[in-house]
Amino acid sequence: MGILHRTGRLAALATTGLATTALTLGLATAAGAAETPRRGGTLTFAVTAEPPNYDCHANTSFAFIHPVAPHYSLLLKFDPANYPKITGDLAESWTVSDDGLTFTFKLHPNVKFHDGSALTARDVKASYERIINPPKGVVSARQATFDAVASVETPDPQTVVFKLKGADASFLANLASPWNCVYSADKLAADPKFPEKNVMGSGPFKFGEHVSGSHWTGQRFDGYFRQGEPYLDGFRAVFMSSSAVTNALQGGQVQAEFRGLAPADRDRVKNGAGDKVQVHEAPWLASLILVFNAKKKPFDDPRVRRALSLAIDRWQASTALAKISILGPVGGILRPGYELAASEAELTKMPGFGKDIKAARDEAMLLLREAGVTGLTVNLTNRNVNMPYTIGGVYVIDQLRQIGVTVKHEQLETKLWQSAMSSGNYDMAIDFTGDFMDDPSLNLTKYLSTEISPVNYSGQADPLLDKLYAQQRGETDKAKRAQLVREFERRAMEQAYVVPILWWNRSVVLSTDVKGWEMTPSHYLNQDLADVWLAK
Amino acid sequence: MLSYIAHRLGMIVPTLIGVAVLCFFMLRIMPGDIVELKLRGDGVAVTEEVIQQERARLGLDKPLASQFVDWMTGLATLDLGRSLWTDKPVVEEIGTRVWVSLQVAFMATIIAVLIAIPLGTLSALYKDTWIDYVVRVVAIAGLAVPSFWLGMLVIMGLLLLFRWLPPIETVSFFHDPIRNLSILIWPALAVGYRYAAVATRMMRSSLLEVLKEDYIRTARAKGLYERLIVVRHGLRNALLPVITVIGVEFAFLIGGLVVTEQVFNINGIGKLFVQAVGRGDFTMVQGLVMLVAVIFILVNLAVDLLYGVLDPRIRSKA
Amino acid sequence: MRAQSDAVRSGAGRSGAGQGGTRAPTPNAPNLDAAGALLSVRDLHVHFVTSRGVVKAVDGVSYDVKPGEMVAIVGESGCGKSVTSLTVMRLLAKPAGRIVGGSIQFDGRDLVTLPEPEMRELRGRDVAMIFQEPMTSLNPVLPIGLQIMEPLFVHLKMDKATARARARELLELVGIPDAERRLDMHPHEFSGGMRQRVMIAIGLACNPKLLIADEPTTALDVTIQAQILELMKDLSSRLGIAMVVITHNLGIVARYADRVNVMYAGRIVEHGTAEEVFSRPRHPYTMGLLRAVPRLDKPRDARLYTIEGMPPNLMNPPTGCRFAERCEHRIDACVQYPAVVDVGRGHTAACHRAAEFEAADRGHPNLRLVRNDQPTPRPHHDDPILNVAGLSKHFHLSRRTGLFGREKVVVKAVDDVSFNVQRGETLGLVGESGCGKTTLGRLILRLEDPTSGSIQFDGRDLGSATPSEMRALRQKIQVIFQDPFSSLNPRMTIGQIIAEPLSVYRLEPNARAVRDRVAELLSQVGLHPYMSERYPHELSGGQRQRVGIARALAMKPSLIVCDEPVSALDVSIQGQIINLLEDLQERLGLTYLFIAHDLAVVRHISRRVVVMYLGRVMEIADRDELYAHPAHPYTQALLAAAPVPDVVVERARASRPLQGELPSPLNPPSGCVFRTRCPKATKACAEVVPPPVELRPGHLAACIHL
Repeated sequence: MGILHRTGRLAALATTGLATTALTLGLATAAGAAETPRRGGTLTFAVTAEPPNYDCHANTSFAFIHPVAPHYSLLLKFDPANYPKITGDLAESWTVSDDGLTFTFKLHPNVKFHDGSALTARDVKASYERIINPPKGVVSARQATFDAVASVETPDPQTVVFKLKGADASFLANLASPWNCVYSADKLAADPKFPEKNVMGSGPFKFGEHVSGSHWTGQRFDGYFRQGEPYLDGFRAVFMSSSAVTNALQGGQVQAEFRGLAPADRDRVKNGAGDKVQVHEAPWLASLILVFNAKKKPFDDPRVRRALSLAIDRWQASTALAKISILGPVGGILRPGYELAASEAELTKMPGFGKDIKAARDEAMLLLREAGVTGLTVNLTNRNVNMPYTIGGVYVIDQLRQIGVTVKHEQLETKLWQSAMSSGNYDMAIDFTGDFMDDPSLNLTKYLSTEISPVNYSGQADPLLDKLYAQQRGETDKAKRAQLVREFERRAMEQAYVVPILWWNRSVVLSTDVKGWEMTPSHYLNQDLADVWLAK
Repeated sequence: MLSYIAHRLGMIVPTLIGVAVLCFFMLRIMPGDIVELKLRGDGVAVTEEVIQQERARLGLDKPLASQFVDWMTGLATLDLGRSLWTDKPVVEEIGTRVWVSLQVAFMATIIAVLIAIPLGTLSALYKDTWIDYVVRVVAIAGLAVPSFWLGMLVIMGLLLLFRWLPPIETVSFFHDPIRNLSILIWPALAVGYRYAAVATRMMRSSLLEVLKEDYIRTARAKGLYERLIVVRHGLRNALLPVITVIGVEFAFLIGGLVVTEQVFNINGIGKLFVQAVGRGDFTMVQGLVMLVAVIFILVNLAVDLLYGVLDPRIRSKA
Repeated sequence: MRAQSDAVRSGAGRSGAGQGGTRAPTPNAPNLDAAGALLSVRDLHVHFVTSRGVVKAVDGVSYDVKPGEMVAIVGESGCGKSVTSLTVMRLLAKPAGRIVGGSIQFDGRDLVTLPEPEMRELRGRDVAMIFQEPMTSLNPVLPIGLQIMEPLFVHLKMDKATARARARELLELVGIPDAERRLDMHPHEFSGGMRQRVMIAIGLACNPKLLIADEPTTALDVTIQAQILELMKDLSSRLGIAMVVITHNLGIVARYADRVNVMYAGRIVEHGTAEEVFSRPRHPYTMGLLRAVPRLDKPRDARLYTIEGMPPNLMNPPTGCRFAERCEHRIDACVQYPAVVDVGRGHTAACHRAAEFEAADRGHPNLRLVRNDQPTPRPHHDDPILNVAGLSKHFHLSRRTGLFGREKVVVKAVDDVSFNVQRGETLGLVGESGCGKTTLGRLILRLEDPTSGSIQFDGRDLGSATPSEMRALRQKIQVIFQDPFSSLNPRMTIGQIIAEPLSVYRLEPNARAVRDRVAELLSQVGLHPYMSERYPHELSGGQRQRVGIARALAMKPSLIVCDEPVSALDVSIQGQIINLLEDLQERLGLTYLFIAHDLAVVRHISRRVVVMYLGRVMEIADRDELYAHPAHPYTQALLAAAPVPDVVVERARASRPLQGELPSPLNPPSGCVFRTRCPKATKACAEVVPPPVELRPGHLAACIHL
């Protein structure tokens, strides 16, 4: 009951557009700060998937971050207590030139790699060059986000200078990406693929062992450059199926699972383990989206796409689905609560977000008539994962039924769903967005022309959206950028190649013994475990 | 007998070649791309060039024929290739997991045999008494209850009744037998129950059949003790079909572990199988299919040999 | 059963237990009762409780067995003869079978009330039993030696070496050569006859006082049957063992039994010495049985005598004489159950008119059947409907030799067989199991393709017939199988079974015509048309065989291959079917190829007879010629081995059963295939396959000594 009440309240807060993130996090921080960290102990946590290899630059899954992040330092990182504020990791301080094209970072002195060698600007440069311009055979998944970089220079061993070709509003945030592990330049020189099979960083924990399919361990790195950290002796990441996690949490076999649980599982653990667990909740930097195949009739007609988007009552969905699923807040293309996201007032003016659903549906049916589409029957290609895909899909189908559209639910195994979308072999599909931070340059990629952004599976080609995207990325003035983003959002919702359904809620369940861990909207962030300690 | 074994062993090679060819092409028919899943699975905007690079690195851009030749020549040198997902040798990935699965399968078999033979015998000897009814209800329940569901019940039961769960990481039996057993006994029980149920029913009906045989009447007419009649004349004959069932079920068990391993979070080949199929890790699936095929063949051979030991008619025919 | 033995344990059984305690391995002098009987069964009642009701399988049976004598219990299937003997062993199927009354005095103890542990001690030691099916009565997975030694261990507490020595001795006693090696062999390595010898060895292991043999030779070939029975008779007299032989074969009784008990519907209807019962039967059932059997030793009748009707249902038997319904001599008094009448000379019969028959003796008019000793003249013209020439069927098998070796072996199931069948005649085909007679039938039906040779039917060669011709020819050749039960689909009604070929071949224009035709066929074979609604299991064996005949007739065939059509039937029913076949032949002008192993039946029905042995034809002749003057040593041996139901004839015959076993078809003897068992064999026989020699017109025999 208490849980339900709380969830309801959170959802309500989110819908009013207040910064609930800060609120929740603020409370947690206050509680954590009151105690003195205790040293020692091993944190055991569950990871529901397993990284394929050890290279930060090539991976994209949280299953990689959770076991690997504790081994590496980054140049910058997000301040977990004050997300999305950026703070230094290896960088002690930094300056940005007035034109926004030169970024100069001063590194912490005396940073050591786990093998004892010193970490200097040379290593940072080598690592970023590997990301920006990967040698043959090396995969750099986020190469494109650094296309503005002209050069990386190291005037002295403690200084790194990034020079940009043009202004990039997201550049600093991108440097705080948890994926940009700093590797040893010497190791990379010897073998650019060294990080694929080896874990050798400067983070708080040294690599222990990885038993394929079973677990991953790390031990405290005594040479960690932040004095007194980490508190833990080590950590143990156990790979397990998500069905086993709930039991393991309830049985106290693992002390944490950092991605997030579905409401039902969260409640089961809470009811089963009582005061032995703590629950952290926050809006999640992830949303369920509906993708129309713009290359296929009748979705080549924007009126049809918009009509279908109009038919979805997102506000009602939010209250109804939040109780049974991880789906929750209503939002546009950016996470509600994020500084650049649309306010509720702005949002309700966009097609599909109005609060008068009857009017919206009347408009939808009118649009369909105009487009000459009657008795539409289409397939909804979905992923056969219950939470939240099936739930979201079923809801959408019901909504579309109310404007006379018949939808067949085609639920596919992940691989086939992915393949159906990327091969354009679908009518409309449920997809999702999500990244490690809220920045529009990352989060708008699902709405760009397929030509430049292959993860937009709609096959859309909209030069205006692409232009607006480029403009906001180059706009360093926050207010102006917000305006551009709004314009982008309006255009995207009108054209409706891809439309948001609902954003997600994140619920993390930890043992009450786990202290010093901060909840963030992204499950990729704040996983280096340097501040985490165990009460027992 | 020796020639029989030699003949059977000789048949393994062509069978495996057939399996290898079939599974290679059947997997390639399945849509889905491991590279996309690997890099875009979490929704990150990875560019097409990166995807193409990774494809090339894994050799997936080569024509099918050349991939097939690689696979078959690899097999000839007992090289199953590398996992497309982890890039580690398939043999290594399977090697770290297969023993746990085999151990669970063997334990389940032992449990099944230990339960089925006495229970089936009792049930047959006390046909249509309460003993028989109880055994039959237990056996039918075993058939009706899916092992993964029973597994979930076991876990929940342990958790609720004893506030205890088996350790989550498996260790080798030789390293720490108690810990090892305290983990693996549960999935073995969950799987073994169903297995036992099948075998119990077979044991019961088989023994009932055998007890109707003329040679049982002959044994009675000789004035043998009832116990001797059942054990020496009844059981040995009744065991023949039971062994077949146990053998067939063992082979299926390896497949059936897929779900049970998920439930108990056992790091065995079943879990690996599910993951590999889900990811479209062709080489891994191929390797696992080959392994299961080999196990299947060996178990069947073992069953046939056991038949030969128990039944002189088979022995002399072979 | 359980309750009863519990009650016994607290009462009278105690004394028995005291007496029975431990006994020396060698039996003492038997403990005989007042009348000097070793086994004395009195007023025995056995019931089987089934879901459909209580079957009173044995209803007041009394008989005695004296030491050293051989007593026969004769009767048709279901009459309770086997149940009676299983009751003596207390081996009735549990929990259905129950002894509800009477006593079984054996060696001074009542076996009905004997506690189970003592009964177990008695089984196999004092009373041993041999069963009908030697193929299934031995445990297939245990070596023969162990199976013989088991009673020695259990009853005589012998050690392994002693028991083994005794087992070897026993195997030699029952005539199994190379005994030492055979002890370690398994049952499947033995032929049926050998297995029955092993069963006898097991029975004799502890020197029993009584040996019960339940149809010991029914499953065996006639030559092997003679060997086994001679052995048993010999052992019985040499070792002084009393024997109870249960059989339906009156010939066996006539030849071997001292005294006979004839059972009918759960009761003993007649008892006396073998000579008395066979020469002066005093119960109409016995008289009927004796007349119903086709005889080798007497001229054939035009028609077989039959006992009409069926035995009563033992779930609800008639209160009066149970045979009355089928009895020709029925009188009003028969509604009362007749008392046992002693007609003197130790001869009793349960018939109201027994004394009357005795008084009238041979003069009683009703006892004499008007015999028509003149065979009905049959068409005899040279118009063969079927012509088989040089027909062979070889099966190619591969046999493993050594570690990797394989060798091809050829089994010549049918080898160079030639004969013809004249239109309208019946050709008998006799031989023991494995002689190829069934394969030959299948070849003619084209269920198998011949390896070589030709089959001409109605002037057309079956080998070169086109598929459409074959379709037409197939209708003209039909078959009747041995087992009327397994050849009928249990899920189809009789009507559907008979109608099936009619609809498949579209022989009738519509469903109504089909129904009418089925009704017509049913009445043709002596069944009521309403039976078309019934299912096979609701019919008796004889009725099922009639359905099989009706199904064959549906196609209006000209040739019917009858593959052992009566061998699964009781004597009284067998006669009905044979008569039916003869009637149909006369009415419809049918031609029969009649395959059987029973020489008397073949003699009765056939005009000409072909004798086969191991795939080859030994002799072909007209029936009377063949039986009167058998030329081939094998035919002679077959005739000598078949016992006839006449004590005088049988006792007068010298016993010279054919020695040895049928050679393995995988490795047949060179030259004459019969030479290994032939009393006349010489060296020359091994060298050349004897060509058929025409001794007289139409009489061919393949023997170089002719």
